[in-house]
Amino acid sequence: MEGEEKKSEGETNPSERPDASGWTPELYARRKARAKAMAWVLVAMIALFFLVTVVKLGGNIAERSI
Amino acid sequence: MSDLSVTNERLEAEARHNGGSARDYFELLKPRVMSLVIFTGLVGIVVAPGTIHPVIAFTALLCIAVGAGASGALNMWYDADIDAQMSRTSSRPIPQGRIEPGEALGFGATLSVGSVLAMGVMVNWTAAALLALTIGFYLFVYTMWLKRSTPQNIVIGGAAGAFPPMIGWAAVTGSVSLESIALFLIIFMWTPPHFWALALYRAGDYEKVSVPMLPVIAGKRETRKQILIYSVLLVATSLAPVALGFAGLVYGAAALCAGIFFLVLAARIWTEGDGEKADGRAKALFGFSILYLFLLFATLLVEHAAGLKIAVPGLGA
Repeated sequence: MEGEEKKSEGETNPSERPDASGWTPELYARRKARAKAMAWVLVAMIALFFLVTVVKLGGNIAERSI
Repeated sequence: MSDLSVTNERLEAEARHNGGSARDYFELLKPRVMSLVIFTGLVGIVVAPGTIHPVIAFTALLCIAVGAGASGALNMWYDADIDAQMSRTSSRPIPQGRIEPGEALGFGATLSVGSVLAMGVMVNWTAAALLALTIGFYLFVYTMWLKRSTPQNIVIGGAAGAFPPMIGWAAVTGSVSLESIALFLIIFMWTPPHFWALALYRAGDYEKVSVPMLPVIAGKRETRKQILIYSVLLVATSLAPVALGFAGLVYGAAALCAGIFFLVLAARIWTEGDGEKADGRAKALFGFSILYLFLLFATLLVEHAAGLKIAVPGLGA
């Protein structure tokens, strides 16, 4: 049993082996993709908040008493 | 067990718990359910009297979508145990080990609070309160309380799915009115025949996990009867927008024709009994019910957006 496990460990593609912290390159790639997705969401949120602020302020400016 | 196998197990566990992709998180939001919610919310916005700036309307829709998705994530977190045992849900991210239950809880809770606050600050607090009510109702009333305790689970719980057009309406008007309640009632009446048609041919799945769906508790014969009764109520309710005067002849004709076809499919389920074609007929009604709801709301949307509304004589404005 132990021998089989060692054999399967030996057959693992070196690029798929975990590093010292136990993470495989694939896990790093997924984490990077998650971080990218989060960054896009944050940028979109900033844009949305900015646009809404302009829309709300714009209305108030248009309706101000002069 | 050797040290190596212990290490492998630890790594596999870490891989599972750290390996959720952005797509897995998106899947937690139940995108297919979300699309119907966005659509009905949009109709609420378009049909409501008054005007709304397109950016604010987009924000309202986004908040409705994120709030609905958050409910889905929280539902998947709570139901992970039964999802793992049902064929329809076993491929979801939590049962598959791609996302940890705690991560789904944190994700869902964050999006819930965020969507409600964003709706309140950027749109209005009536719409935000309705969104909070929707999320709370879906999680606490339907998922945690009713789903595993009564065969009326989807009848009462269906209210959660019926709120989006009301939220859209409130985003424009800042209030709840009879017209928005009519839109709510259409989806509320649509939910039981839609889900019971599914439950008829998935009864074994629900029985396996002890979810008391109507076919499991009251039997398929009673379920078929209830489907027919709710279908009649649904078709009658679908004509309420015409009676209240915010839909015209085009919507009325579409609702009547689609409603008659819905009733025919419900009647076929009733007459077929437990015969060979029973599952096929239940699937046909389930499939058409989605198209039916889309058709009703799409007609309402087109009628208002394209100015096709021709008032029915003697009814409404």
